[in-house]
Amino acid sequence: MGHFLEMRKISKRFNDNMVLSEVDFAADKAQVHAIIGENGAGKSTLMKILSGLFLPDSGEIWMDGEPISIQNPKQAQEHGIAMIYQEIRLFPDLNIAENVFMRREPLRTMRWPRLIDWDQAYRETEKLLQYLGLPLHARAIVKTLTIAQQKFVEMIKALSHDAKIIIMDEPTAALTEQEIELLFKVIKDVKKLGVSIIYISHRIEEIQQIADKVTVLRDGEVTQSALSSELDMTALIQAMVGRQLEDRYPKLKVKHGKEALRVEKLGFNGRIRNISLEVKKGEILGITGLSGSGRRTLAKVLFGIHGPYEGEIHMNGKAFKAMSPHIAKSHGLCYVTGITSEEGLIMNASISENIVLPNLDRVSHAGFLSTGRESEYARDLIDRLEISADEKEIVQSLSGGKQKKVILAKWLFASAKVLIMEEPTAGIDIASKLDIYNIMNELVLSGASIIMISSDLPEIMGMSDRIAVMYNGQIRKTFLKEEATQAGILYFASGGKDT
Amino acid sequence: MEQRIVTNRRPFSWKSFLLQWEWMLVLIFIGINIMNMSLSEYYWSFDSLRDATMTFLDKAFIVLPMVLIIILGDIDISVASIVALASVIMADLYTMGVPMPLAMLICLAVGTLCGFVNGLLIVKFKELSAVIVTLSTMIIYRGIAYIILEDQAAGKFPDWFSFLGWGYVGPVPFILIVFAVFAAAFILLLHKTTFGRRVYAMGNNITASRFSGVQVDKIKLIVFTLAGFMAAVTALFLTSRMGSTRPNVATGYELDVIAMVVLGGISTAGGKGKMIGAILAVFLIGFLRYGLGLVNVPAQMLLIILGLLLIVAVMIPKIKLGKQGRI
Ligand SMILES: Nc1ncnc2c1ncn2[C@@H]1O[C@H](COP(=O)(O)OP(=O)(O)OP(=O)(O)O)[C@@H](O)[C@H]1O
Ligand SMILES: [Mg+2]
Repeated sequence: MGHFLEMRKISKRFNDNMVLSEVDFAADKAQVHAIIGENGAGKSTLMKILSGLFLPDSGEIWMDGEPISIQNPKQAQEHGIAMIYQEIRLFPDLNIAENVFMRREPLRTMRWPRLIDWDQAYRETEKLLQYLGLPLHARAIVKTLTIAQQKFVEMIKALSHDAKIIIMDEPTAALTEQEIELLFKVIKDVKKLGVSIIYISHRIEEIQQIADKVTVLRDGEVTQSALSSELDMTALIQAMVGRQLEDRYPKLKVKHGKEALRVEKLGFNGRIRNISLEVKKGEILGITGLSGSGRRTLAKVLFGIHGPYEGEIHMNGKAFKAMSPHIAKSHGLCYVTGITSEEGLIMNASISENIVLPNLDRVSHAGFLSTGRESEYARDLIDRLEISADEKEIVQSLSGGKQKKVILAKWLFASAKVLIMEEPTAGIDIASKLDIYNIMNELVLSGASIIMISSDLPEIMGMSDRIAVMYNGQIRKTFLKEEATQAGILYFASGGKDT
Repeated sequence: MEQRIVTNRRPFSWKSFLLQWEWMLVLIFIGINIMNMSLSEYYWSFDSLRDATMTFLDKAFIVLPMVLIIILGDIDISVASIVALASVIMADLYTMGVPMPLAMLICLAVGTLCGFVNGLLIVKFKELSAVIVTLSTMIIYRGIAYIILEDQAAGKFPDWFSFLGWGYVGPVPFILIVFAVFAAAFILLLHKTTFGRRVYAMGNNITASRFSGVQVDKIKLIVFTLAGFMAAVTALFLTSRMGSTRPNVATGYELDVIAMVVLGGISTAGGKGKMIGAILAVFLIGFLRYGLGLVNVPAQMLLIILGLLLIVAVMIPKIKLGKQGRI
């Protein structure tokens, strides 16, 4: 039976590690094919082989009934394959159009000198931006955009290639509800053009909503591949989680203690304004909002990255004058960043070196490191978070989800009193999400407080005691868990006001 | 869910162990010695080698903190001017009647202060790079030295002061002992302490280090202050060896020092390299100079050889990376 794209018996190993063994994968035109599976299962690797970033050790790729050779990303592009990677790969200092047309800038008709036709590049970029309904200018510098907007720039880049196959590796990891809706609309439009879309995600709702076909990878092998209509999704996911689905958000009722953190009229540089909030011991405060609403800025001001700030920050009743990450940390205020490669990890250092960096005092004596204690400490956390990797492994070569877990490992057991977690489960597989929620429960049970910043509405609604909704640098509304509804949150997140 | 063990650890291989740049340095070092021996019959004697060390070890003190600075991804080109300023102030104070031990302490204090000022400027004015800051202070410190001495020599130190540069403890030059102690201390500092670990982390990703609660400003400040202090140590030994000083003393040392660090395999991109590499490079360049000096090879020739070595040092990691095909 002829599929549009077929990957046959693809195998790949890194050093001693067999990542893919004889994987068969097929995709058709005008179809959304979801790939799911736990962190490190090999999803990204399989798709990086398709996009020419990795060479397989063995196996073939067929397209339209003919074997094709993909030796590098350029060849993949020529075959009409475009990939939006898990980690953003844009040039931050260039503008949108420059990124979109990188290395295939339109040229003027003039023979000599060969000049780039920037007018055309900007025109086409604007057209695509409009098509996606994005209120962005083609000349906007990429680093000034939010993560979600950058993802869309990657989308536009893929679309402008006239790609026949678009691969999206966890495109929604830190996207908000509206942005996801927009993305889905775009996916449906693109699908109508006959494009084949391969979609990697850990978010169940999305897969149920958008996938026509689902392939499950496990330890580098395909365990299941079927049309969604023929598949019992619920059973499938339960099998992956190994638990009943009802407790997807196993929030425990914990008695709240005294106030742990109080913020009064906090402001910074116009990016956040007049923010007052408090968190009690044992409480989980969820903060949500659109990208660019100031959620991350708030976290960074609290952690002492941004300053000087206006207003007051009190921890355990004591006021701070000026914060720095070091002071924040030594007072038990910790921050798990949502941005892996720049802020979260030292990419070419090992797992253990990354994990101990905020905890160096625990693995040293009088300033001297104990390598024994260091590996022990790291191995313990690797086990607890089921990262299943050697502590000497370089984080660069870890799967996206495992990298995320390493950032969590840095802070989850640093005896934080107030823990700010940004997108705590973005990119993390379904089973491990539960583990992380359970760890959050443990933390609040032991008297810590958590501020959870998340774009994942079900998660925010499932795990928080109270939910603060931000819009344009301010807190628009704070819901109690019982009062919160998806519609209500969305209303305030998009600028609605109490009437 | 069954557990699986993933080993993605690179298996230990003799090949990659021996391919380390530090071993290359050892090989080059041996090569230089063989070459020198065949060039001159006077070369390979304990006495002459021992005395040779005295001539090049003075600037080696600055190499040690410079390793830290370059691992941080920064650079300090003001160190030679700090040597001059510290040396000149010491000599001037002594001529004005300040007791020599006190003058020496002040020399160390001046160097430390200069380094501290560098660090402070770099930390406070984030938009200025370390090159710009230390380029300015390089000119300023040297300028102050000229104001103090007005292009004259100062000296006539007490006799015992020459012990620093010329003295022996048993058969071993005093300067070699002091250098060995400092080298050991810096090896420990960089490779065994939390401080060293933080320095590496900052060199690799300063943002992630800050987000991990590393006091990045404090560490930079300490490292640059250390460089100032070590430059003053160099000033002591250099002044003692020369017996007098002038404001133009130690000119060009910063480039020598940086060359030694780079030859030692410390990447100017930051985050990589070992202290031992730079220490090897000190001896390598020192012996090369000494040996070629014995057979009257012109100094320009020596510079060319040094330049070639540097290019190799900078290229090696590229070649190795290329083979791994990293993305
Ligand atoms: N460049 C690399 N070098 C060495 N090992 C690698 C490299 N890239 C991936 N791996 C390993 O391959 C395995 C599969 O990784 P992959 O990124 O494909 O997982 P994934 O299914 O995308 O997981 P996630 O859901 O966490 O993104 C992991 O164990 C990872 O450590
Ligand atoms: Mg992945």
